[in-house]
Amino acid sequence: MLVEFAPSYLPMKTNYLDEHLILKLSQIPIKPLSLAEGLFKGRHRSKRSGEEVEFKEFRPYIQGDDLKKIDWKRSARQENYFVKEMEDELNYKVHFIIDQSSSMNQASKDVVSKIEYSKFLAAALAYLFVKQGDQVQVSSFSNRFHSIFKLTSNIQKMPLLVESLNHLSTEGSSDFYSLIGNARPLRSDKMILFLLSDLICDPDILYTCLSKLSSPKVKIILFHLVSPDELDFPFKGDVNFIDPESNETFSCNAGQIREKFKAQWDRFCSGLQLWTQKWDMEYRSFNTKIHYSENLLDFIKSYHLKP
Amino acid sequence: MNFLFPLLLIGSVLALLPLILQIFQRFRKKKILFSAIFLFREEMKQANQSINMKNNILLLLRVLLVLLIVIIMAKPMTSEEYRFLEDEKTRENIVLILLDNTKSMGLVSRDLTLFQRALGQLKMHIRELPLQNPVIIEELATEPFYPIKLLDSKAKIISRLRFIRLGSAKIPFQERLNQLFKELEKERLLSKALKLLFQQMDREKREWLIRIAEKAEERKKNSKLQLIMRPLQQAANNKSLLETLFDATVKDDLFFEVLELLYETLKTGEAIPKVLEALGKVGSNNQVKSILSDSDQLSLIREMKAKDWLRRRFKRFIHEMKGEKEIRRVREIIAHATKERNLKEIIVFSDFQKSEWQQVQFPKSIRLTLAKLGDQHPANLGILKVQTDQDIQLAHQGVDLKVVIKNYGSHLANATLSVFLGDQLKQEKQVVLEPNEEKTVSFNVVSQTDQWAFGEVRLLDARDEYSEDNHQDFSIYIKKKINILFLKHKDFPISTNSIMWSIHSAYKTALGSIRFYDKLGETSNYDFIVINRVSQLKKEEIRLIQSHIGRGIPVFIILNQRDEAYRVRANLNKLGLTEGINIVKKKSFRNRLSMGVSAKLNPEHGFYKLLQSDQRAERNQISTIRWKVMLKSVFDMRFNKNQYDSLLKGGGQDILIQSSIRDRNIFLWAAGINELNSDFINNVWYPLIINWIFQEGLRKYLRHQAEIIPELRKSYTKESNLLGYSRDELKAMYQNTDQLSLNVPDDTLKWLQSEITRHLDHKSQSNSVLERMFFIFIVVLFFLELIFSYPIAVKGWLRKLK
Repeated sequence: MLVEFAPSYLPMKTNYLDEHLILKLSQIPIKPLSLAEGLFKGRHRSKRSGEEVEFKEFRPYIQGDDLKKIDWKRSARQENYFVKEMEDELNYKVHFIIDQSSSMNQASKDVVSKIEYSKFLAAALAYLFVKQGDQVQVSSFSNRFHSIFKLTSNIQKMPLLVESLNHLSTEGSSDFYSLIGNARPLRSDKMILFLLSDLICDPDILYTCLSKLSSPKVKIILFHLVSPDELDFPFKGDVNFIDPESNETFSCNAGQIREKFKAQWDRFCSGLQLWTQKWDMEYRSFNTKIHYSENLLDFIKSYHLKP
Repeated sequence: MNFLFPLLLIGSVLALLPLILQIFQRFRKKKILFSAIFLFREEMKQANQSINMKNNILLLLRVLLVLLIVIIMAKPMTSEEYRFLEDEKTRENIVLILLDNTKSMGLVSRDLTLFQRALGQLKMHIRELPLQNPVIIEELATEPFYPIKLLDSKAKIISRLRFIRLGSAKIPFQERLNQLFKELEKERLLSKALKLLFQQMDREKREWLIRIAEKAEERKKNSKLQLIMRPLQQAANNKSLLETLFDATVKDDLFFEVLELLYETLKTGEAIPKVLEALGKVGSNNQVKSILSDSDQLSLIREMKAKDWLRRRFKRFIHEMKGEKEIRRVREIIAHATKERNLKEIIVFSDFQKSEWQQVQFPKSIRLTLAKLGDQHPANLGILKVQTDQDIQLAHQGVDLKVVIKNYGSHLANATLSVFLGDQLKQEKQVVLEPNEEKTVSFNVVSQTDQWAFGEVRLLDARDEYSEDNHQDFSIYIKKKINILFLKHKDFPISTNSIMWSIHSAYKTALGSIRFYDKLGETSNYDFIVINRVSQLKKEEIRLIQSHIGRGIPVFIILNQRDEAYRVRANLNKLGLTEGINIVKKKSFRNRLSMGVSAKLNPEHGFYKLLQSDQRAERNQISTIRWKVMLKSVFDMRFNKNQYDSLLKGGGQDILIQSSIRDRNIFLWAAGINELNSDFINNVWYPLIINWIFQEGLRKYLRHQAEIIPELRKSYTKESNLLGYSRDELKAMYQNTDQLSLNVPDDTLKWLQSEITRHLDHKSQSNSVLERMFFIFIVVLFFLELIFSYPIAVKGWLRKLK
């Protein structure tokens, strides 16, 4: 399984939807997402009353309610106006935003690059959501925001999704400001926003952007893709580090800065974690060394366990 | 900046090596795409800058290191030094003008003598000469003078011509010319050699050479390098000396010695001995004995003795020079000295009457211009040679002289041949010769004066002779007996045995014979005067002795009693007037008889040590203490028991030798001779005293003679003081003059070798100071480089070591 993940074994066109994984995922019962509490708390139901499908409740009439919605039978029985509320079994909008910046190209030995990893993740999750009947949308961003895959809930279109993911390649540097205004529609729908990124950005900018994205109707889930190099910092001797986004070169002795780097990295990650907790976001750091299916299953399971 | 070996500067390309290495290393560095670096981008930027700076410093250091090494190897020179080495500037083209001023040129043709016409032509020619060419004017009849004079301005040449007169040559002119050409060639070679030497020398040696050049300059304004090299040439006669010099320089160990000797010869004005040649070979095979002739060995010893002094002198010179501003002037001098001179053209003004012109070997590839002046051929008479049958003659016996004369011309010649000894005309003979006839005329000459007699044979009335010599010198050495005047006290018990013993023991080999006189005035040519009766001297005698002392003849006074000196001080003071002796009774010593000495005393003439006396000795007449005290007063040394015993037994020689080491010049004794028992006086005491007298006397005598005899004068310089020699050496020197059988003693040889090695050690130390500094600098650079480049590696090694 892991061998297939080796970049050298990647075919020109990758099928990001692995059949084995799909099998595995289909066995997991995914409950609809509860809006208030957690993510996959069963099938999601829309609070919004639209074309009613199923009865929900009666409630007393309040001024301003549509007169059409008054259940006259009940009102007559109870001598009061009651509004019959129906609940529509709505699909959720799930938006996957993949960081397309050059830094996502980072790969280490026998480990798939971050962008490939994120593609796998996005494809698998998208499949999962579409199968559940949710609407899925895939976008990418670097300097600019790109919409890759329009909103759909048709499972037949999944190959197209895979196809469009195949076309996705890295370019430019990540500009989180481009997310604002693009990541979620103006009309505030309830949606889940998956941000798959290495979060290479000035933390202050990152926080401001994310804070602007967040709203009560949007659940933001951050998938922080971390390469094993960043965790272990295995370099030795004089090394030229090249920043892929700015193409700046820093030559230094790796051994000298290892401790410093690790401390800085830990501070960065823990800072992110704290900040996301504070803003009620989900933060997950994925080590790209570990197979995405394991990571994904872990993620899903952990949501099942949540109250 | 200029360099001695500029070709080596190509090596500075190597300075690119570190640059290339650094670039290569930069390429070789691992390149890693690493986005997380954004976390400390600013810090990295700073670190990056510092690393870059460090690298740049390292690069600079390495480049500097390489460049420094290259520069050191190329030997940088100051521009002044370099100026001497530039070929174009240090070459002079010389025009040699040979002017025939022999008497044949005095022939009158068309109202003017040939010589006057030659001068006229010469003046015309000189006007046409280009300015920059220095000119040498050589007169065939005049005695050649080396170094050759260079005339570098036309005014000088014209004024020089005014002083040229007709004369007759001393040396056959073809020999003289050949010698001149040789001399010029040698000079060229030498200047070239000097230039080469100069190139190869390090700073200290250069300064020595400069100093020498300066000395030479001081000595004679006109003299150049030639003056330095003149003694060398004279001594070597051929190229062997040059080779020696080169050898010494190449080996780099005997250069100083060579220069020292060179300097010594410059200073004393004497020809450099072949010692130089020997010195060049001492380092290689240690066979001084086989190389040197006996007289050279002697001079070798002498030179070695003078060496210490010379070295000190030179060091001071160099020290002084460093502070002087005139070093520039000195450098100019040396630049002049190292100029390479090429003979470009020879112009001959002569009547070419002599057939010997064909024998002259003119240097090849040189333009030769001949000015023909006439074709008449007069008579030509000359002295070929003067021979004495023996060099050394006994006094009052005649010397046989044989004079060979020849008529070279085509007419009958008639001349008077006369022999002079000193300024005195001794004999005259009339000679008549057919054309091309050779004749030997013999004379017997008797000299009655000094030991050396200088004579001259002249051809008088030689109006029509023009070639060769019409006079020649000769010299005779006459062996004399040494005359000793002994003004003896009546009761002075002098026995033949005792005197003979002393003489035999000390001077039998040294002096040919000794004659004693006991009356003043019998002859005025005393070599020593010994006086035993000062108190009885008459006025006339005192006057005569005073005149002897004034002439430098040593006077020895033996006093019978210890206090006699004081008693007879009136006469003594009169005698010692010229020497500055002044004997007075010192009041401060009550019981002690002492004598004061004038501060003006001249130690060169003795009398500077006066005896001390002890009253105890008078009281205990027979006691041995008195003896010891007395002996001490004479020999200025304390006798131990063994010595004293040996003295009593009659073996005084050892003690004499010991005492002579002290180098005292005591000429005045007061030993209580009358108080002693007669056996001892006869067997020990007199011999001792007289031996002593002769020993001191000989020294003085030698010194006196040194002023007269030129060969000894060489040895007698203030610096290489003859009196510094031990008795054995002196003896050996005198022996040597007779037998020439002395070998250099082993210890002298050892001393010589040790001295040279010591000197060389010292030299190598002092010379390498600069090099050492450079080396330290390089090491420091390496160290810096290590620190800068591999701090982690060093740390790692340290860890491993721990």
